[in-house]
Amino acid sequence: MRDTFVTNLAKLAQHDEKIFLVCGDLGFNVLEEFGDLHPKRFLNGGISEQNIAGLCAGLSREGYTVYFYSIGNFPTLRCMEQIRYDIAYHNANVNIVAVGGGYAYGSLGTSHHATEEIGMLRMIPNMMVTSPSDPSEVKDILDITSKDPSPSYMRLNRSGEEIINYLNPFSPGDLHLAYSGSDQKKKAFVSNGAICFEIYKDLVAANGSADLFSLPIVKPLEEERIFNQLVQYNEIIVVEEHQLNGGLGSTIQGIICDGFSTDSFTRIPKIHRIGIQDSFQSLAGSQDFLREKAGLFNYRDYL
Amino acid sequence: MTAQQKFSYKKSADAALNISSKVIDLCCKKKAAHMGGALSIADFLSVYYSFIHTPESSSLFYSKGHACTALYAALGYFGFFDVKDLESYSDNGSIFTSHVSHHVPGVELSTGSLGHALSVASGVAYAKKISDSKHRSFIILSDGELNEGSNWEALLFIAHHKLPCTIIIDYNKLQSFGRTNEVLNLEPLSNKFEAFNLECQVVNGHDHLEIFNALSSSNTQPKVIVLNTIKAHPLKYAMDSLESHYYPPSEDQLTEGLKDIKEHYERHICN
Repeated sequence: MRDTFVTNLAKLAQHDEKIFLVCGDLGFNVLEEFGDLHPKRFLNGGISEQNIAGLCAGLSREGYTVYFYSIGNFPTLRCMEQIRYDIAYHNANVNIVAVGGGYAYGSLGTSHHATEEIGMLRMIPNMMVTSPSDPSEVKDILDITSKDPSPSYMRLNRSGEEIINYLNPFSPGDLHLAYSGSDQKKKAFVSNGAICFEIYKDLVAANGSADLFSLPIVKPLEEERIFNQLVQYNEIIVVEEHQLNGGLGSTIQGIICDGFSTDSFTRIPKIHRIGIQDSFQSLAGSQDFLREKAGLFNYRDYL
Repeated sequence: MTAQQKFSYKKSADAALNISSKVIDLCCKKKAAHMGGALSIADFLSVYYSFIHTPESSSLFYSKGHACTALYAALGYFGFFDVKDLESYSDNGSIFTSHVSHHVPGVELSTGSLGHALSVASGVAYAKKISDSKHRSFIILSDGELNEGSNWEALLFIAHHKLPCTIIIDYNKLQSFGRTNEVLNLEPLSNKFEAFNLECQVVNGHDHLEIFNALSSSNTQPKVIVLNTIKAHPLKYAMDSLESHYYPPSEDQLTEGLKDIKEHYERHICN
């Protein structure tokens, strides 16, 4: 995902001379591709995320479409107030990109587990919040954020992720059908980020009888469209590599409940939420080990 | 940076008289706080807007957003909006919030949470520098605000990239809950900036000519100007008091204060 991000941003910057990339002293062997092509529009701001978030807002005032790249919690939680006030309140054209979403940097410890940032950023007005499920969605989201002057956040996993063969076109704020196996709309998985690909692999391998939707843009959403699609299912399983509080599952619950409060539907699909249950992972381990410890693979009970 | 206009005491003292009077008038009428820190920076704002500022050549980032009455009064006095609009200050539905709002004409950035504006200004200055612009960013910080670590991140960045920034410290030596040397001692303050490879000049923040000369001698390099100021200057009843951070003047104190301000600045105007 991170390679797709850098390669495509460098390409976009060839045609758009206002694209600017700032990093927080991270990106060795990754960001050089952009820096070599566009040295005047590449800046290492040092290990100072609060300052970088503010200076990105300053660069955007001068007409730049700014991308701020770092690891997980550093360009997000570390500078949350700068994001809220300098970036979002001023509707600055700053796009934050974090690599190492969820437990991607598993053995590096809790400091490197990005498991709350989507919920926190989702609450901030003006912020688009995204968590692509595969490299193709990274490219789709980049195409949007490079043209949209509002601020955004994109969670990346690491590198080497595979492509999902989606069954419908990417549409901003809408469900993206990754797998179709459900008879008569009985069961659907909704997920995003790298764990969506794990569900995809499992469904393909098992020839599973469920549908799988990626929801790569968490905010803003086409809520009515999502409601009308999901309400047709008997059972919805929402899977996220994120705390359950404030994450994708609660988003889907909100959409379904809001839909029922305003329309004359009489039947509510069962919704199962699978995510991190208000806890930290303090042991060393791979991404999959920590996912297992956190109970994220419990979605397999519904395959 | 060269001054845009020739210095005259009359011009900036007249501005300071109006701005300071408006500050205490607003604080009294609206029962508003933060009068002391607004008055300590009023002289700087009077000099900056009288002789230095043009929209093409400079931007002012006002980081001590709580002292908004001075900035609003200055912008009103210098014609960014009708000064009568300021009568709605802090009222329901007014754009004039009690921390600086970018919805007010002439304001570059909303501030209020301390330690933000220097970083944003550094981004603007970086963009100006790589486009070979002659533009300069001026950033006003309070002294207590220097407790915020983000400022020191920004200072590292500004010094490293030699950005066209003039950083103004309103050193009135009182912060929210005590004297700066009792809460978190800043001294030796100018040495700290010099250790960051920043040129630093200390001036009397109530002497308009000293302020003018310090601003006029700025070049393309970053520079810190420490203004030695007195909180609530020149109100005899309130100068150098912590209370002036909180309490608005009573009607009697307003009358007395307006007289103090008039007497203080008319000395300059008559020069």
